[in-house]
Amino acid sequence: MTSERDKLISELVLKALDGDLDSLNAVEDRVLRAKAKAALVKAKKDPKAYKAQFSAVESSTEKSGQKELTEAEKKISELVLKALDGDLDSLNAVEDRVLRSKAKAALMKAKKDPEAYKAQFLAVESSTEKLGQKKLTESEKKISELVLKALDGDLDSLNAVEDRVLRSKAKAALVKAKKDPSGYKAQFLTSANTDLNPIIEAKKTVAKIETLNSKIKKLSMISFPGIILNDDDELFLQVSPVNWYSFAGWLKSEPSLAFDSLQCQTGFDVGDEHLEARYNLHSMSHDHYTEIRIRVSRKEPCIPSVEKVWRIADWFERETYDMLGIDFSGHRDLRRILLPEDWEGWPLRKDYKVQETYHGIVIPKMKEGWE
Amino acid sequence: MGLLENKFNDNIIVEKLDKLLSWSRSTSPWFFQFGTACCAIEMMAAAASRHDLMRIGMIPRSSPRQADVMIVAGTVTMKMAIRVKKLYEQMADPKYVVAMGSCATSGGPYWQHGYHVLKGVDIVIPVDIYVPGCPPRPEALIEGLLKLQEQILQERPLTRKMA
Amino acid sequence: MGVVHGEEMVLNIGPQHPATHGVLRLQVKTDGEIVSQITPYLGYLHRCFEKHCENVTYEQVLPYTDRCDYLASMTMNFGYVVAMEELLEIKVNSRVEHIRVVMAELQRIASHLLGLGAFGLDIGAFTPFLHMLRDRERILDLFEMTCGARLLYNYMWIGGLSHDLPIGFVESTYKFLDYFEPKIDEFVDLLVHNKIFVERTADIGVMPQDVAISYGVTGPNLRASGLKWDLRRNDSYSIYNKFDFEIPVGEGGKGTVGDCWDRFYVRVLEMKESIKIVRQALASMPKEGDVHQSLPKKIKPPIKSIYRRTESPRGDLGYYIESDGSNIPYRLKMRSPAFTALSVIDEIAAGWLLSDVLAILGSLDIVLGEIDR
Repeated sequence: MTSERDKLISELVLKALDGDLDSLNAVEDRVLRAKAKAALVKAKKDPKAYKAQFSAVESSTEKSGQKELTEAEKKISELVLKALDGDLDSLNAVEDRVLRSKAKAALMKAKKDPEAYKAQFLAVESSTEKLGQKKLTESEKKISELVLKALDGDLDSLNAVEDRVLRSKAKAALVKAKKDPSGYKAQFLTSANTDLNPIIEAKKTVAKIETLNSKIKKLSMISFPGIILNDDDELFLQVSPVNWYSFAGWLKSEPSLAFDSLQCQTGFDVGDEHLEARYNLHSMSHDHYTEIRIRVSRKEPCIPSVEKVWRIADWFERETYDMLGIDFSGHRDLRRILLPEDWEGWPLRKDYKVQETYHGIVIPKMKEGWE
Repeated sequence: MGLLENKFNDNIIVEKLDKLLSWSRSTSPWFFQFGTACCAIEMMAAAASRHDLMRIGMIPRSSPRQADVMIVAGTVTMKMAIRVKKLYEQMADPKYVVAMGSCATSGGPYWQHGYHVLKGVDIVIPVDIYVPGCPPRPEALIEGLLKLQEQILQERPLTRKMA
Repeated sequence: MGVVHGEEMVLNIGPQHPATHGVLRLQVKTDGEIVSQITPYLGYLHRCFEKHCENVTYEQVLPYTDRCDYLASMTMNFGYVVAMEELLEIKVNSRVEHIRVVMAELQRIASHLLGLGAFGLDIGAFTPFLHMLRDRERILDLFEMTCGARLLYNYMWIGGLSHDLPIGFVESTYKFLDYFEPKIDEFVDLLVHNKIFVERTADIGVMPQDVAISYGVTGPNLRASGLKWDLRRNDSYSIYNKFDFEIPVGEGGKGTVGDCWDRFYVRVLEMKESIKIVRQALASMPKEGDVHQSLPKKIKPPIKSIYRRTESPRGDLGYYIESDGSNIPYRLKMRSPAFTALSVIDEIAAGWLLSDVLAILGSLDIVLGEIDR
């Protein structure tokens, strides 16, 4: 075999490995074709090694992610990209039957992984796509206008269109747009949506909390060095239980913070040998929030009580003691609030086992038949 | 009635007297509203403007001494179970109990992980009528109470056997 | 003649009350008439809500939240759904938001009707209770038309609703609102300016603002003490920022600011504002939209925690949800407004007569299902 033939065979096999079997089938020389097919079978066992072996020349163009595209391939990729975005008409309108079938085959393959296909072929169009606007043709613009009007309730302009094809396309686009009207509008309108978007609002709150937490950490360095145990980039402050009572008093009395209301106090069973108490604080005057977490060990859970700072902590701490067994030192009357006084165990711990009877009354449901 | 109950043999006078007694007991049972949770609201709605319980003879009483029927409406917890027993014992004979709602019947939606919920009030007191539902409609409660009235009508307090 | 001092005795009020507030036990130290100390005992309705939430999936938590505050189930669902949608970053469409607001405001009216009626019943006025319940039944008819249930709806799902509005709902609601608005004026005539009622409630149980904030009291109880704080305005969620409504604040109409009469009157005014909101929401509701559009197929939130508050008829209801990546919550805590409202009873009711204690308890409008969870 001459080197020329080898080169030709390797070219054909590489193209076939990438999916294009037509050039291989189009070879007229039967012997060459048979050898190429045999080499293809062998290469399919380990395509990467074959490619590495034979594509030293083409590696420079492949590194940029662009393949050397022929005229037909460029047209196919355009059609497939349009079809991935929903516009099947340009693909169906192609007159050349071979090209149309190749485009449909490429579309089936691209649908399996649309993102990769787009990334492969869209170096040119990426700049316009960043703006979120598609390049619209004349008819597409008209269709989008009609659909937007119909979404707002005005179906007359859509029904009045005389061109039957355009009308049916507009109705199809309307059906699709109804599934997600705000998405369609956002795509085609530049004006902003006036509904309160909870995602955007939540992100704003997160940003606010993060700056507030770093401010608290800085201010606390002066009188309570080392009390905050975590970094700035989390949404809560991990506080050590040692000086918690005076720190809480400082949080309430410091004028720029002024956390005068304890919103919620939760007890947590973190799992590995630790229990946690979380405090959600809020300031009425400045309208800002923060969350404070205090971690203690499971064997001796003891946190100083803050009931003198926020009066509601009295009952919240009794409830946390009742459910998890965290002991709050300095509380004037720490006893169970929800369960009876002689109940055994801490129910919200993960390793809690219910007692069998209480004053002679059986607790678990007696299992019968259908259970 | 306690002294005279079940003391007589069957004869015509006692039978007529029996029927009179059970008729008068069944047509005006006064109920003791023991409402705990959500079913209590439906019991109140049953006693209020649209579905009127007074037209079948039932008047709400707050004290167990003055009541005939105890409607246990709502979840009974372990802490409350002891008090339920005490209240039942404070009621005067003849007394009946209606378990309203699925929590009072068998623990309700809290049967699986409820460590503090009594799985059915019939563990501590004897129950005559069960009204299922979560919560049962006022019409369902009224049907249960009418069935109770039928049950009371069939009792024969003076003779030695049930008719 | 000197003052006659009796011996101090300890009385128990409850746990079995006439079924308005539920099973609550108040241990009262009194010398016969004047109360010197009140200790509430809770837990008679502790149904292990938080333990259940750690064992069922996120969607299955919804019926349990209904049963906590059974007088206002729609708003309990609403609070949970708002918190979960923020955790999962789902945005629902405009029709769902409008329907949710309509349902929440109708529920607010129904809850206030029952709360005020029960308050009147505690004071001794039996007729307003029957009037309130008659009007409340009409609201329950509207709810039954939509989702089939009278009291515990399980209507708001994560990402949408369980049923769309039936045909005829909007007309029935307009008819109800037109029927109900003059009834509020009738009620005001009957009870609010009634001399006996005013004598029993004015200047009684005054709650100053700083006490209210320190004890975590929110909602109408806080607004009656003069502070204009409403979560629908200040920490807005859903589409409440689109509607135009006033926030009624207690002004001491018949006595001091923050007494029982103020707490009562603020609720009456709130019902009027809710009617306004319902009218605006019905007028601007979009006719197209699928209520099941954004229901997620699988709910598996990211590993983080969230605390979100919404305004229920009793105050601000908070849900603290912590997820660990699976479809079962790791920890769910419900911060109930009535819990904090009850904790203030010792502070404001000590020193009054025994009958005043019951008036103060009625004006706080508590529901035991929510306190004990």
